[in-house]
Amino acid sequence: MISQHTFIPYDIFNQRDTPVELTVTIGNGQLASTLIKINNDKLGDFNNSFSESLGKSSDLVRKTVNLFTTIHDINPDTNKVTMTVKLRGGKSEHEQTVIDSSVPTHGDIATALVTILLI
Amino acid sequence: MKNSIASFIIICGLVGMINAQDSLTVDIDILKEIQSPAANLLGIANTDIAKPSDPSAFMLSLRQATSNFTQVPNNYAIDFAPVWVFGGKNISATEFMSSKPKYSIPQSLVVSFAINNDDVQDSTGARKNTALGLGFKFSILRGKVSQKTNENIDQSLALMASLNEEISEAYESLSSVNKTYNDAIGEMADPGTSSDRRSELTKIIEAEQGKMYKEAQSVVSKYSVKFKSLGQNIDFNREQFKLDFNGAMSINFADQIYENGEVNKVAAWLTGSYEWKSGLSVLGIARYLYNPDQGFLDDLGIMMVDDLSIFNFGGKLQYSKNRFSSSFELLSQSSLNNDAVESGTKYLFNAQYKLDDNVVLSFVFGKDYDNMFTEQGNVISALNFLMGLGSKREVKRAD
Repeated sequence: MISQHTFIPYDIFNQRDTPVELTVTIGNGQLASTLIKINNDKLGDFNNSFSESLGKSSDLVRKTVNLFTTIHDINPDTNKVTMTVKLRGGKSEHEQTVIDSSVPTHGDIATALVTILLI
Repeated sequence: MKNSIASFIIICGLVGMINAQDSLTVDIDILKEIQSPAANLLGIANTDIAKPSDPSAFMLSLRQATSNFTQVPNNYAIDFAPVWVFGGKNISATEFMSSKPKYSIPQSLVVSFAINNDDVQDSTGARKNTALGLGFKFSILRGKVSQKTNENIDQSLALMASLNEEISEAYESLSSVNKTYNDAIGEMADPGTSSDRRSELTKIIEAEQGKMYKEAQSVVSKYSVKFKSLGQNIDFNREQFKLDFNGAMSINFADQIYENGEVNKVAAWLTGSYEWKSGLSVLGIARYLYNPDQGFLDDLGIMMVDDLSIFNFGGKLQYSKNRFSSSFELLSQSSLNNDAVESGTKYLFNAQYKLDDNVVLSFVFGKDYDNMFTEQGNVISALNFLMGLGSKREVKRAD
């Protein structure tokens, strides 16, 4: 099983009312579910690739956003799994590849934890 | 009674085999799915075609075929899907499952290339020759995923959500009491922390995060078997209406000289099909074939050589249920540029009943049009009784 974790400090200081937007891209046609928690409070479950507003910058300063993601290899043509995270609304855009790998066999899963600290 | 039936079937089978030797073959090959249009034109087997799935495999295949980019490949065929090879990480599950043409056309596009340097035989003996094949295929409509697949996908999403909940609860209970982690997060969030210190803190946080995440994932093992089973049961054999387009051309370079390059064949296929749950399916095809310098016999039986543009149009109706399967294929051919070439139709009816694992009763009836455009003939390949050579195996249960 593939398991990845990453920590992203994202600078939103002095951005006041700008909404912070998160985009998660799960590639290669694979199925995925992501649970988002802000300071341990559940924002929701999101399927596959999605974009979601996390809230206004002024409300998010010093908060921690955790993404718990599971990817299920269902594509019969490839065992590749990829996950990319993009953040907008801070001082600059941030894009990071979290997973770019292959699961050992068809039907396996990959998991990822992304912790975003909004500062 | 049983002996009489067996004798009748065997006699019919023998008659069928004798007749089959004299008969014209009604082979409607173009109704079969084309795996690789370019390699197909050059007669290269599907097993010899490179099919890279990512950029590094694509470059490796080219590097090996060209001896590290120093020479033209000898005998080589490659099929690749550019959108998957170079942009697979941007294709979401929703787009992958969609039947809309804006997703199915780019995702199903396969480009094929083939080269063959085998000598050719002509009246003067063996001559050096290079044949180049180029082709493509894509699905305009690729059908819809089945209701069963959609149900399995919903189950997988629910299972993943449940797993995420369990991991998050375990992780939060660990992080709430991890002083090193919480102190580092607190210092990191302070606007006054220097960038050098933040780099150090990032390493501390990632190390603690890794330890806690690994421990929190102890719950994964109880889900693994369920995911494996679900993943293997989710198939993408799409149903309902499908429409595919294929195109290919081949160029011959006589004596392996670039200036001698001549188009040998150009072909384009459009195939549509629809499958019902009852086991009934219908397939239609329209094909254009351009053959330069093709030899044929005219109405007076005189050999002519001309560029021929041939158009084929036809269909196949197929029914399969339990042990019985049956199909009827009809194909018409007409020349678009030469009246001397005779047009015609051919058809084939096929019925099979599987009596046992290695015993199939089949009936074939058809009419062919002559490939040299001379005359049409009637063909009846009678009742064939085919007995498999392998005996029915006993499967013993392992102790």
